[in-house]
Amino acid sequence: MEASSNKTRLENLGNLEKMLTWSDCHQLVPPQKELLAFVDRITCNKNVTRGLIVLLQQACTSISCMEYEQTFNVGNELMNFTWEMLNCGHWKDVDCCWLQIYSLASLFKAISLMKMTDGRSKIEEICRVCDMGVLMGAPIFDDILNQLLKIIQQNLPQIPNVVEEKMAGDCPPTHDAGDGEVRKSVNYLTCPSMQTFKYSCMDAVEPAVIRGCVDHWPAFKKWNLQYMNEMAGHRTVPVEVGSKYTDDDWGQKLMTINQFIRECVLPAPHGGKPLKQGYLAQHQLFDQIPELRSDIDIPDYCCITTAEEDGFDVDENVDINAWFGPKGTVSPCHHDPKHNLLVQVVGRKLIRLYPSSCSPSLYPREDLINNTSQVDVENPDHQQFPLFHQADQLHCKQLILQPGEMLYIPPKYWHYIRSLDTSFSVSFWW
Amino acid sequence: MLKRHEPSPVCEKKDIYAFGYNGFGQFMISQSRKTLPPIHLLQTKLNKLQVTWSSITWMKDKSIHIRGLFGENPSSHKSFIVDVNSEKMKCSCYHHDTLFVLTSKKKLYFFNNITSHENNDKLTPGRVEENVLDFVVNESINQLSVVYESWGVKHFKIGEDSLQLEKHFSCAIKVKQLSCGNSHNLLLSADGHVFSWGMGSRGQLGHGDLISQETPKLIEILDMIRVTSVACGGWHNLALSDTQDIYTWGWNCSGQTGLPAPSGVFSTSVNNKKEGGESCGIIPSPTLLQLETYCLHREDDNFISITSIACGAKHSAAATSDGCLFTWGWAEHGQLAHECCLSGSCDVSLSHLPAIVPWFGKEKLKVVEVKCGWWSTLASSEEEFDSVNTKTKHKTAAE
Repeated sequence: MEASSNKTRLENLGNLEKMLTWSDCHQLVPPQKELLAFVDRITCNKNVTRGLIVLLQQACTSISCMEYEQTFNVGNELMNFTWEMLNCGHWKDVDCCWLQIYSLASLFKAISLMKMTDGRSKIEEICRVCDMGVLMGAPIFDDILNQLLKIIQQNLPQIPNVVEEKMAGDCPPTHDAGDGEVRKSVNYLTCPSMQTFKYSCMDAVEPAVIRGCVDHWPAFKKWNLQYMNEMAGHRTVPVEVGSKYTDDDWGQKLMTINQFIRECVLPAPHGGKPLKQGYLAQHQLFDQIPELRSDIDIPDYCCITTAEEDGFDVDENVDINAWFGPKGTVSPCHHDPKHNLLVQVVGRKLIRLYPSSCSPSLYPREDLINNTSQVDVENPDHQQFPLFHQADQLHCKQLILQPGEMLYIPPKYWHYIRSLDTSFSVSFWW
Repeated sequence: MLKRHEPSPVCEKKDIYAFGYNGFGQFMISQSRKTLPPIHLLQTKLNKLQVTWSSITWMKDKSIHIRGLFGENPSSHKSFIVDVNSEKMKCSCYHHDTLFVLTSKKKLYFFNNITSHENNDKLTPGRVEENVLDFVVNESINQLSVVYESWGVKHFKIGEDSLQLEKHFSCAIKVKQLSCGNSHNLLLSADGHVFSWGMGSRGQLGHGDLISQETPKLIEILDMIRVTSVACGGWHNLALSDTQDIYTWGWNCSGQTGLPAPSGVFSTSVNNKKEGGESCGIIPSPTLLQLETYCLHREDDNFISITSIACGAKHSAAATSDGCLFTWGWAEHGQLAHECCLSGSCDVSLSHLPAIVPWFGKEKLKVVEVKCGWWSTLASSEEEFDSVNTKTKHKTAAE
């Protein structure tokens, strides 16, 4: 398997002196021998059905012989078959060879389309094919799909401007829940030392808001809807649709960032709420779009581990997720197994926190998503969940997270989040 | 319009037409990776033909024919004579290096290493399994599933050189039919009950939830009706009742259940509301499929009666008592043959609602029975009773 770390990819992108042009894109593809050896390696002893291997070999040969129509057709069949295999059994049990095959199939399809359509007429489709490979597959040949995307980015047509709504007056920071209840607050620290952070937050298992640590991020100067649209408008991302992930109507829809902004973030053309309910949640956007990665910085605190670990590589071991959506997105009350630093970049979020000792009063679900509470925290059913009220009064901590602040959430600490404005947050799990 | 007929007995030889995926030359030797419009494949009884993703296997007299991918070679056509102890062959299927043949004496013969044999060789069996009622080969996952009389079910992994028993359980069900999908299975009992087991996360088990089951569990919602046949697709199912109605359940990402599918959404929605055009990604309980909704120009107001059902990976097919063929679901490889697919006017990656395949009516053919390959559809048919015009001679692709 081709190893490819974030660091290597970033270095590659930074050092690219000779950018390939559209017509030379096929030069990115390894030679036939290497392609066939790769297929052999990833399918060996993997119970891959023979017909699929035959098709893979056919595609390796036809792309090397520049038979692009054949490559496109076979590539398409490979993508369809592999997609079926990715849906057999649970996602976590899927053998990584299928992820690699999916990426390889996307590569075949993308290159063929680029070579067959000189007039760039299919550029959005090509961009989408590459994105599907990036989203669903695993990096191969030095993250070749991202290299292709760099070429494609240069040729993408101007994307329609998005008009940004003005924020209707700034609301002062407040801890008033609005429901008449007075709630406790969290601790606020300004640039604590590593030691203080470890002692007061991680070891003490106490959430806290940290100020003054992310001011240097370019994101604070650059990020708005227009910037996102310009940087990544054509890119396909998985958007959560439906009100929240605990609801029956929840699903994921693939759409471009431009479409997401227009349909789910901006108000509808006639005014009022956005056309559709959607939230770009828990997505590794910064892996997919490396240009955005340079707008943020992993907080130093992520280097602190509570276990004795030598050579802890921050880039490898920290999960960075983007949370981008309109006002009103809700993450139902749940807990995560890792330490979390949630950085607020754009907009404000209302957050309620409960220690893990409150678990019984939060009535965790009994199905697969058992890290999630059954209680609707802002509108609890006291008859169905009688223990909740007292736990809420005694133990709930509430805050409104402002741009420039980051919230530390200890592992297994329950948290509920609702956005008060169009919001962009970045979370770091380690 | 087609006239009403009594359904013909399906035990006679009929013309078999095929359409859909041809990437391995299994339907016709040509550059075309898709067979559209339908072609005449051969004349046989449909149950003598098995279709997987990359090949087709059929029996003729004492020989077994294989077309498509054979070993590592696509566009192959091989035939072999098999020694099954002079027993009558019921069905056979080829996969990788093995030919499986089930006889009327309930014996399943395994002919191994056939790829090392010459064409027309006589093959002698290796292993023989006894008391076998039915078997299914799932090419995608290299699986052989076998159901034994008064014993139970075994799932084997067809490996490079061997057959490994993966899962087995006993069940005291008197079995009529076994059907297997990519990650789930159905058993139809002789008295018309349906049992399901395997992965449940796409609603494919039909118990109204998304829970997986290790062993066969009765589908209670179907208990009130008597089911005469079942069909398992990749992640969806059809069941045919003795009143000739279709029930459908499972994953609906491509509209394969026949109910409206959400567009572009990978949905785990289990909402079963169908009024107001609401679509569902998953149908967790068997639901009556009313094909009348999709029939625009029916002459009479009678309900549609279904005589035959079949499922592929993400598509379905059903034959009606008056000889029409409905298909629905995923259209990308030509497996639906709707008007829009033939004229190239549709987006084949989008889900297609049920529609009659017009080609058969135009050719004055009455569809009697239907079967699906993974990405293809086959129909056995006969000429319309009152067809007076000279029929166009169909170039027979096989034989």
